[in-house]
Amino acid sequence: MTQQFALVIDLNTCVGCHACGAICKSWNTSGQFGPLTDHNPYGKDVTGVWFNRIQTYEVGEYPNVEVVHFPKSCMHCVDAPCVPVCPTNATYKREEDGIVLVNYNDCIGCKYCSWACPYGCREFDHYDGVMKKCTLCVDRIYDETLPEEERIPACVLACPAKARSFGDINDPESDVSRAIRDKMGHKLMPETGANPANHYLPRRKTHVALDLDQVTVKKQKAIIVTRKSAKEGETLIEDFGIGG
Amino acid sequence: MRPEYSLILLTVLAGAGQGLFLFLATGDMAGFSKGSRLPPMTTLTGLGVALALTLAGMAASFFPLTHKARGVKAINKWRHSWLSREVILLPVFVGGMVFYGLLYFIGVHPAIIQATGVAGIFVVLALFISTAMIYGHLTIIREWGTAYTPANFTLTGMITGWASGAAVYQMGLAPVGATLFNLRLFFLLAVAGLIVKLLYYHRNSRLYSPTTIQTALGIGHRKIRLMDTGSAYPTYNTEEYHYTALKEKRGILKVASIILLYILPMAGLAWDYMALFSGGEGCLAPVAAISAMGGAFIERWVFFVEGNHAQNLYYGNFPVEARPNPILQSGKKDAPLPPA
Ligand code: SF4
Ligand code: SF4
Ligand code: SF4
Repeated sequence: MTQQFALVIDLNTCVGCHACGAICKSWNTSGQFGPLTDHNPYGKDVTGVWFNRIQTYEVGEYPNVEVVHFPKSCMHCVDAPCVPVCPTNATYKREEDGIVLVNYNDCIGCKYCSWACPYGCREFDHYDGVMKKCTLCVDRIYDETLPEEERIPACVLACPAKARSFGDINDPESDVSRAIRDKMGHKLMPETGANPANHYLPRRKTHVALDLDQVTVKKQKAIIVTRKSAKEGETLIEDFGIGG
Repeated sequence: MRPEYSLILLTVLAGAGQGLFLFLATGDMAGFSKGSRLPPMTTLTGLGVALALTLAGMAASFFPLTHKARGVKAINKWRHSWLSREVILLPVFVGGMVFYGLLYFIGVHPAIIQATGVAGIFVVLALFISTAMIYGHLTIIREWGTAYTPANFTLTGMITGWASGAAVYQMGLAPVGATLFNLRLFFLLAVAGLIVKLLYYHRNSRLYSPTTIQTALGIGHRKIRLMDTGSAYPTYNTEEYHYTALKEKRGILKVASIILLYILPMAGLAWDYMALFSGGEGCLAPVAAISAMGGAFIERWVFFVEGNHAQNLYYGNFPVEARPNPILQSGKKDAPLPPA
């Protein structure tokens, strides 16, 4: 089976800092697939091209709510609906690694591909008149001038929460495949048949299920140093335990 | 979706051109079968009008393209892309029409003209389907992804073409037999078009989307609320896929398009039909043609703006309330409810 590179994004750890979006814009603006043009950057009604955008959702009802930050870039779909619709062949999916790219020299700017993409992951650059999108940092991952540990997408490298990982989802032993298996990774909009390569790891909480009757805990001593007492140079020693 | 005016102009104008060609080709055949050939000038004038309409539509769609010089590359993917097929068939249609006109002008044997006309009819139908399927196969925009879309595009093109054709016939003094034949066809087309349009609106008014914010995020909770789009200003995602102008007036626009595209032309041409039938002369065909064109523009605009792309879910721009789940709905009657 050929490779299918993808991003795996852990919603359990994403803190919504937008670092991946900012570094993506920064890297690609000066990289081979840039620029990511901004319109009116210092005025009112700023708009511009981004490959990676982050939305924030509230899940649940107060007081039982969770805030979920949701980064979204091109999913490099296995059955990418954006590819067959492109009349010029400008949009194509690479055989060797499954990355979906746009050949800017062939794009006529008809925007048809952006209508076909279920995820809204393509952005039209009005300045260059061509369609642009996440390249899975194809200009980084094969770049031998970079140190080996940096041959990963810029957004993966930048994420301070380590919520993003990159790898081959067709290799069952890769880190991303393991993460998808072990942490119940899922795809977005499976009903559309686009078969996205990027996966998301859901929110998780780990609770240990214990029957207290079956647990025996030896009475033990714990030392608790309170902030107040520590300041005063005292040590408070307390007896404390369960079931004893 | 944001209405792309170049595409509205292309689909309406070229659609009318195609419809007009169908009108002229069938009218010519009807003339043959009744033994009374049309004056060649009438057909040639009609072909000129059809050519002008099609070229105007093509120009309207070509000039907004950001890289026109690469336009020719758009024929590359004819095996997969409906847009590519449209780009190939449009010049074939224009060339075929010029050829047909030339045969007419030279005055070759009617059988050859008729055979060319039949080939032209197939090209026109294929072109209607290709144009409409650009939108019709995008099931991610549920309003567009239906067989009603090609049916509607074809019938609307034929109605506007037929009304323009009736006007050309009226001014070109075509024989009464051929005119009456084509007017009868017009009524059939208009009624069919109206039925398709009403069914289409009915379908869309109760459309159910399997894609929800839950499947879009992969989070199963019932209550999910957008807190932040991640951008302080509009983006491609909020501008291209979501259009709110005249939101309140869309119902009125639909009624206006139905009156202009179907009702008024039918009434006008019915008047002409009666006049011709009783030996007089009709005079309302040009009015019918203009009215039908106006109605078609409004209809196409509404078609574009009413498309809801599933990516709007991420930005809180997707109409959730209007889409009841059919399983739950039918559960109220006799089907078993899904397990709680
Ligand atoms: S996410 Fe959209 S742009 Fe990316 S491969 Fe899939 S369909 Fe194409
Ligand atoms: S906008 Fe460019 S890449 Fe997209 S379908 Fe049109 S030609 Fe292809
Ligand atoms: S993989 Fe590269 S291009 Fe894609 S979102 Fe990350 S930084 Fe941007």
